[in-house]
Amino acid sequence: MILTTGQNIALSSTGLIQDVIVGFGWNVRKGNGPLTELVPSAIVCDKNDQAISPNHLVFFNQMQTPDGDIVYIEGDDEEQLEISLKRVPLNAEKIYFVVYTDPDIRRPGNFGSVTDAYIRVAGRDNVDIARYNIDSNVNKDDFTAMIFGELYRYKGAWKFRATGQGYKDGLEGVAKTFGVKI
Amino acid sequence: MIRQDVPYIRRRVKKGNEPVQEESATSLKLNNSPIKKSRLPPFREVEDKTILTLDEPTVRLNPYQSAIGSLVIREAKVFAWETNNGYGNIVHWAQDSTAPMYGNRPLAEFHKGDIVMGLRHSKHLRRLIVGQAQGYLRATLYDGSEIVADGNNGKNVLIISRIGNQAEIRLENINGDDIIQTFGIQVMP
Repeated sequence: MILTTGQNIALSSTGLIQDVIVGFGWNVRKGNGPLTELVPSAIVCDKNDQAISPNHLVFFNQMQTPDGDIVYIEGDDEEQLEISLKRVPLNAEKIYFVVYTDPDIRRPGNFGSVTDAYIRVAGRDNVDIARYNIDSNVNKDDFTAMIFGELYRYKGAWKFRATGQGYKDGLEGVAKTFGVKI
Repeated sequence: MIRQDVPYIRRRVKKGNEPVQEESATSLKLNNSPIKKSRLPPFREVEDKTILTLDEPTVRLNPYQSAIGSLVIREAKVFAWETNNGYGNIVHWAQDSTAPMYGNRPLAEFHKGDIVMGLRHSKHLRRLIVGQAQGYLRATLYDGSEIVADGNNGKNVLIISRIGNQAEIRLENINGDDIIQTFGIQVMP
């Protein structure tokens, strides 16, 4: 199902879904100068929308690899995360998926140079349950971070909401919102 | 790839973008000298302002500090870079960088007079050696933290390297000016 901003969907009509794949995609306008580089992350939050600890922003550089345990991206996504829903601790009510522009001081860029951005949620078979295309009609020139979507518990089952909320103060703003220490 | 304390989220990897293997203990050559406390775990972490000395030469950046934004080093006039494939080169002040490019930015370069290293792609780096500072070398991070070390009229260098998912910054004293020869960097053809 294609979602619009603010829309939500139950991941499963039976509530029995165990694992999902969250995929991110985008295109960045190319040029000769420094390119905007996007970095997806997941923030695990409690019922008050605060990270369950100050370092519960999970991103690419925190993933240690047990030997032999690499899983490769399937399909066209730029990044994929697997979420094992049955293992999410009970004090975690939401997982926000935030994408930020890497703040390299050499022209970091912003979402104004990003097109075709999306987030999708799929089952283990990698078939879409939901997909949200970030609204291309919204002026994102000042955004340096965006919440693409969120997984949240609702009456014992998991749902996904298409969020599309931008931050002009980037990762710093995200950190303040969710109580993360970066 | 899984974060050990968040085992329910796993990142899938693009083919060709596999994580770099850590150095193993068997690859180290040990001598009989007593090991200074600062070289043993738990390693010193960066505080708001961290001062490196030859007695306390090492600090490790946490995974956020190691991969977000830029490491900016002031007062140095030269750096040598070396990537995981074993090749490297030296870049003098105001020269164009020869370091590999990511996102149309060199992994490290002189930018407005300072050395700037992009941490997003620091996993490709084996070592960055920074030197020829007459006074104090100052390295700053995205979160505002600062690491300060005495350049000792060019006799001390900072060595930035990756240990797993963390960057380490170490102060060392060197004899002579030839960083390439001192550190055995193989200049790319």
